[in-house]
Amino acid sequence: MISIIVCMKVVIDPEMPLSEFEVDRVQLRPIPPKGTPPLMNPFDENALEAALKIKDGRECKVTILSMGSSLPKAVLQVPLATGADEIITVEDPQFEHLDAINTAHALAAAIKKIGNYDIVFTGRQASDWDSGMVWAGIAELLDIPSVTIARKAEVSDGKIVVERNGTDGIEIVECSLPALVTFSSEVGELRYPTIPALQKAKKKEIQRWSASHIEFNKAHIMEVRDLYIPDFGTANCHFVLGADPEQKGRDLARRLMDDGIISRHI
Amino acid sequence: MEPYENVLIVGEMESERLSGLTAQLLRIGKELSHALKRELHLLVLSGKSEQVDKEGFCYGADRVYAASHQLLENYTTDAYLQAMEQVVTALKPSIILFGHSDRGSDLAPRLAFRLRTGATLDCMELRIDGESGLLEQIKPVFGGKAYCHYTCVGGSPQIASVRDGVFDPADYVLRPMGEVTQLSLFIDPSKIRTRVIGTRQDDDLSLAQKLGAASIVVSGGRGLKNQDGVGILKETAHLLDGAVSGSRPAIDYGWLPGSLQVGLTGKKIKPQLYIAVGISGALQHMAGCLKSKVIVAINSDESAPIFRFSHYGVVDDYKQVLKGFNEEVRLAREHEGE
Repeated sequence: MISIIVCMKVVIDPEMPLSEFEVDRVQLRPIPPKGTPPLMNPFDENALEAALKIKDGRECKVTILSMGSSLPKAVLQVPLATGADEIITVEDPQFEHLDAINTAHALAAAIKKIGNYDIVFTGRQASDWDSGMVWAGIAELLDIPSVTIARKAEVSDGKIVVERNGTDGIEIVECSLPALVTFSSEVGELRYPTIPALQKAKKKEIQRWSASHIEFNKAHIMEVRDLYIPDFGTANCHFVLGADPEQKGRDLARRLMDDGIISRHI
Repeated sequence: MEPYENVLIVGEMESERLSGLTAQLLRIGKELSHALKRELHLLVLSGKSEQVDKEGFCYGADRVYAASHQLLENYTTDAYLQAMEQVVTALKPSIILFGHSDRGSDLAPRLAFRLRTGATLDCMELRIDGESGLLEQIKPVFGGKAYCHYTCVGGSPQIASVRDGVFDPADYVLRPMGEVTQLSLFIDPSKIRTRVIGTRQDDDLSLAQKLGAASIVVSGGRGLKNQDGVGILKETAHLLDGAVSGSRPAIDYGWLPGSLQVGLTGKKIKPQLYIAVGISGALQHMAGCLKSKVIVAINSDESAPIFRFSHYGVVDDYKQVLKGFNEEVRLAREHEGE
């Protein structure tokens, strides 16, 4: 049986409106939005979907691993209900604002404690800090090979075969196990859980570990000097008005031709 | 040689020439090396020794290093990591810059962890902090809603990858060229755990290439509401001799292939004219098109953020707006032809 660990991060909703996004300029971190609940990083959901696709075709155990501080149960239950076998969290107040390097160290330590695994899946990056670093740290610290930004992954003969977008087309990469693979949205959205599965997931136990369960020492390598919302400029949009939508379209075309932005000839 | 002093650019080749992104790295690299009063070095790793490495001098590199090995012909993380470890040991750069390409985004972070140092990926701005002499690495976070400044205080070298299109390419000046220094590498094949077993032509690759080169792009988002909308976009694009693209929802819904995604995790383009149809203007999308010369937004929601970034806007149902638009363009051209 193949064992897959999927690393998933609870994040601020990346689709939240800019007008509600605020940062704390002193602590250099975002202020959790009041009206928008947190959710699983969408790329991590893609990674889970990739794991479930493998599980569809063979005997396979899928473990979700998440790290943070006081992770909301409601957010953890959804991926569990889509078909994952278990969920382990490592939660500690000191993990609330951990940077990418330390996150990688903590996750690698947790994976070492889980011990028995063949594959680690992650999203290509988390949609909060967009670092794109954590996967690399996990792979490096576990000393396993990695393939990034996959669109498809299959396991056969003790190997994983991954399709990824290369510069000159789709690359097919074969990799020995254990291995780590990161996924992008091309693998497909995470399947919807059924209502009975959601009910069942609510009863499933979440294995909550704390920092003391893993071997973790915080490193101070990167320093955040500043975090701010940039000036996106003031609206300077010329609105094309008109009696009806078709007229607006005609006026827009004429205006763009008059201003030399589109050509009158072909 | 003093430890950790110069600025090293990890270059990439494209059709036997330095890639556009490499030329951009050489511009920002030169600024950094000037500020540090150090040299700018260019490294090209490849499967065979190339003759064109010398053009690095024309872009302003003080030294050009080439390292070739047959195991570097196809990119594998493990082989390139071995190569980079040896290069760092030999050259001891204080700063290493990668392009935030397929390769750079794969190699830079693993190298950072291997060398027990830090990295910042997808940077939009880099500068030397006058006080500490450290590289200040500035990148968009939270999908572009905020900017974060990082410095690497606990490791060497300082590593960053740079977003394509942020900097202009370095000036290309014909000048007496130095000699390319060949570095010899030892790469242990038993430590290469991945193997490229094939490539498949992406059906959409030619579309994606056309998108990169197009001066007019018509792009659709969630507001298209269905696949039919794509047909209308294509008609407009055809009339304007442009290309079609989409924001992430248009790709996730399957209306357009993934290679045509414009945004933070997709293509970054800067056409003369970008027509955003039914695109709300989330910053994750704008990261891919904000550098367009003129942005036109067509959206039924007048409060959509896209209008903040647009030069021209139409608030209405896009199907009818584009119908009128296409008619008018056709009409003007018929008149012109008479």
